[in-house]
Amino acid sequence: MVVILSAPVCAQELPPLVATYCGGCHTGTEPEGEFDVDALFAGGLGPDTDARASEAVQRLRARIMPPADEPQPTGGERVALAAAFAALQPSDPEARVATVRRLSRVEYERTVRALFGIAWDGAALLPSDPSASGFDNQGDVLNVSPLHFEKYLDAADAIARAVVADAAARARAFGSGEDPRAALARLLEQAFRRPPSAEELAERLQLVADLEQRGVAADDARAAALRSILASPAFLFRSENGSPDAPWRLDPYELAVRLSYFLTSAPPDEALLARARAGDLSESAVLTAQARRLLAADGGRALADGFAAQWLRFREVLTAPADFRRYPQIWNHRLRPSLYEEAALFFAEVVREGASILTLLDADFTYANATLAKLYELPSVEGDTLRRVALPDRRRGGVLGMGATLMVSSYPLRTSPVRRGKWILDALLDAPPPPPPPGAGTLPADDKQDDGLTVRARMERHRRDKACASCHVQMDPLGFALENYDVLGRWRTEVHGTPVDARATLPDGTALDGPVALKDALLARKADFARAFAGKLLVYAIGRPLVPADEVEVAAIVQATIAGGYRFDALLEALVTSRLFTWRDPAGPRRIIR
Amino acid sequence: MNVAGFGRRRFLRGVGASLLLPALDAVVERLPRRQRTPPVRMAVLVMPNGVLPSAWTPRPQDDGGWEPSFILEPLRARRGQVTVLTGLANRQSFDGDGHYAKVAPLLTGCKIKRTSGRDIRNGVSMDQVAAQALGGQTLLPSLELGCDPIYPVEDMGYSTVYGGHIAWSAADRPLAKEIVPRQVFDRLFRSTAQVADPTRRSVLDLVKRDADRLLRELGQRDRNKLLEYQDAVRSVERRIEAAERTAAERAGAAAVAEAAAPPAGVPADYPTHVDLMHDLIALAFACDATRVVTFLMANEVSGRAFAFVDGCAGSFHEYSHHENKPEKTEPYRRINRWHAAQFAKLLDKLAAHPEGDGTLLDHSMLVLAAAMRDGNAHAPHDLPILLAGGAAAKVPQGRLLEHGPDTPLCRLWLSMLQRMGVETERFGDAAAPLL
Repeated sequence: MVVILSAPVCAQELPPLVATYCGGCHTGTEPEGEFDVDALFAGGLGPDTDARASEAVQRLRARIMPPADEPQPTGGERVALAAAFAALQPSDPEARVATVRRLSRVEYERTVRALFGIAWDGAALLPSDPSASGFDNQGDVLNVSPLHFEKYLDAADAIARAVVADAAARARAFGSGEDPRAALARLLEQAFRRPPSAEELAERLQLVADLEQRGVAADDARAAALRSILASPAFLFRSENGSPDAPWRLDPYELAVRLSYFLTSAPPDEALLARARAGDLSESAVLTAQARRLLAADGGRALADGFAAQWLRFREVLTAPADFRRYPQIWNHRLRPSLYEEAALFFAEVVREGASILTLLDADFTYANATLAKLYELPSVEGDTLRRVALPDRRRGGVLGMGATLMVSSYPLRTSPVRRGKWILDALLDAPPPPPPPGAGTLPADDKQDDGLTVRARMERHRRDKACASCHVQMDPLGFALENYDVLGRWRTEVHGTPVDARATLPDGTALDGPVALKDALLARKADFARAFAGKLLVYAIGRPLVPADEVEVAAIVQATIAGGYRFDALLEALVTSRLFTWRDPAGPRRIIR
Repeated sequence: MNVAGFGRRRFLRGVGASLLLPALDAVVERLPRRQRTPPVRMAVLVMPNGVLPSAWTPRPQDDGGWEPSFILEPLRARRGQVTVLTGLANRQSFDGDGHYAKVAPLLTGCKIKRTSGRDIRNGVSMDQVAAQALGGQTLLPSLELGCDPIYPVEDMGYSTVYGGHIAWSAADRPLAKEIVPRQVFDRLFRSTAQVADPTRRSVLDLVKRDADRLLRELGQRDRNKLLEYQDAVRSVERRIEAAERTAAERAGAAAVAEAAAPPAGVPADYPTHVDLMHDLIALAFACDATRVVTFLMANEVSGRAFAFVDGCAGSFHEYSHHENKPEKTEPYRRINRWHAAQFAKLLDKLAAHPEGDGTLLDHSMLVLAAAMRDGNAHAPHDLPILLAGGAAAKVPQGRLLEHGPDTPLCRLWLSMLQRMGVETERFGDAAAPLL
């Protein structure tokens, strides 16, 4: 009998880190601020627990606590401290279970390519996918409306025709000369990503036989069986069949599916399926080895296109509105794809090599072609193909100095320190500011102004309003430090005759002047960056938003990453072997009473 | 991700504009005339980011008509068939801030749940009430159109789903919209070949058995997704049956239409895109392929640059937050006027096509609406709403109908549903029709 408690378990031991960094003031008969951590963790605050715990998380993350004249936790300890408080907040056990995921259209396209070796441009046919928590692979919002199903039928027809017409694809789908039953069983295992049931197999064999008996040509009959596979929910959905009420360790096939779609946006390949069949995939060493193998085989490209392009938002550079008259460079049809490729190749290299994730913040290389070399004023690169180039100084190198990220956080006619600052808080620190209050007002659309006020001067006026200041004091300085980059990411020293002023002061007093100083400031918060990266990667990998109850496990992944020298390798290993990744877990480990 | 074709597509601007419509009459001629009285249709067109209030509301005239405002000037020639409604609002949208909280419930009259993705909740939209009641009579129960893919950014904590969908078949079921003109066209005409497929029914039967089995294994949240899948399968089966019934009689029309089919892909320039979608609305109505259309002209919060309108090269959304500064109100109202001009062109297309005793326009109710009034303040009151056409369904023609503050918008939707022939006395928060 397994009993799950849905409310937070009371009477926990005071976590040692909390005792060390908070216990000095916040215990005893007269705790500071009437905030008693002993009582909090012992469950003595009752209904106030949620509010007090969330306040503690906020103060820890904002570095208001512990006070500056007290011993300070390391970055990793601070992440763990905040997690300990976060985990006290009650959370609906169901919130920790992901909803069944329909294949996104990117995944669909890659799945078809993996199964049959044919390129099928699904994006042109299928409706665009909504995203949740920043990613378009989240089950909650991936639905199947009638239009979707119409398109899935059309797609299945087109793919089946293409497979039948292509000798190699045909052999992959239907086998060559082997027993039809064995060939179909193999196809079903690949397409459904698990062994087919006896019924699923028998019904399709029957379908082919029936159709042939009715005079349908053998090829058309087999194509029909293939279409019945491609339109099936067993193909279109990645289902994990554990009970929603009890913790469920993913079975080896389910785990293989999670792993392969996470790292390659594609179904398990034969080697991974073999491990699922063998049943040893759940072993940490096997799982880690498979993760590394998949990432190496794909070169990190699927993770760059699927994860990073959404996390860092550089996917939007392909469509971001920009003004062709002010920025005629955009007429160069290579510009946007080149900017995209630079970001994707850069990210792919970091994950493929298992390099330090801090490389994303500060690198001595990037990828460029002739178009980008000109844009960035780098030594000449020939041709359209992007190649790895060493950078002469720290003005470039890392996601802060890339045209793709700088353009998506700008407006068509001007840069936006607010949007750029918000982008950094959201993507790199996972600390998004709340939405602006109604009627907050905005700045002019253009940086060419007649009244002589610069965008900066207008913003400073705006910040004098206290309601605005609390958030802008966080966002604006980060964005101002990037003012040396124009809308396209070109380096500039003046804006319409006025010298660029890239000076700014962070809320903690750090003075910045330009992007190099900003890099250093972010590197000083590297544990927070690791927490942000790990958190976003988890959402993408497990298909649901994180809730406070997850934070302890997230913090453990971050600790392992830090212990591994911030290498992506270490992060990947900790993530794929974590309980968050390997279980469907409505309650979490500490909530189970046997 | 395939990015190679991106730049090339840009240079195709202008190609394919209005290739379709000249063929309209030839196509319709080849369709059987089954009804003596043409049916009533409706289309709701939604434009993003509100309007400049001072440039929207027209001046009343003594005869009950209206003198065009700056934005409505392009409708001057058509104003005898366009009614302007003031004072309408969706009260359920008052609490939610931002754009999505207003556009998602525009046609449902419901209050949407603020969520990033978990437990999406809206209501059934008026177009789907009509489609569910009447959809069986046409090839497609309804057509959902748009120009933008779903924008990947949340708005004030409201899901991207809310920003991308105005048609909802159930509280948690947004209907995907079609943004590629060629694919809309194909759905109106292509079914002839499919009907000839003798294996399709067997394929669908098998797929349904897979779904039944899977359903038994899943938990509640997952079951909802599977149930939606099953309903989608049933819905498509009905469409195929409708296509089967009418395939022979539509074959001649399809062959003629094919010659005028729009080019594949998303048109590079926005005016062409909107124009083609309007052509397709006219075509779908004329062929009676559907009687219910929604068209989300662009995503809310759209930052599209209207560089093709003089002085409007900046972001639309930025202009909408105008703070009463002339450097922003001017481009803002020009962009608003551009939308009115496109609506006028759609009305012209429908009016050019004779039907029954009048024109296609007389048998079609067209709405142009925005989900907020002043984009600067995200104001949800006194929404900008035009109702055009529908003379044959006794829709008031050419009036300025001024209503009291926050008159339920659902009363207008209820009036339209009743004119469509849906037997209902209530919709949303409306207990009585407006017209």
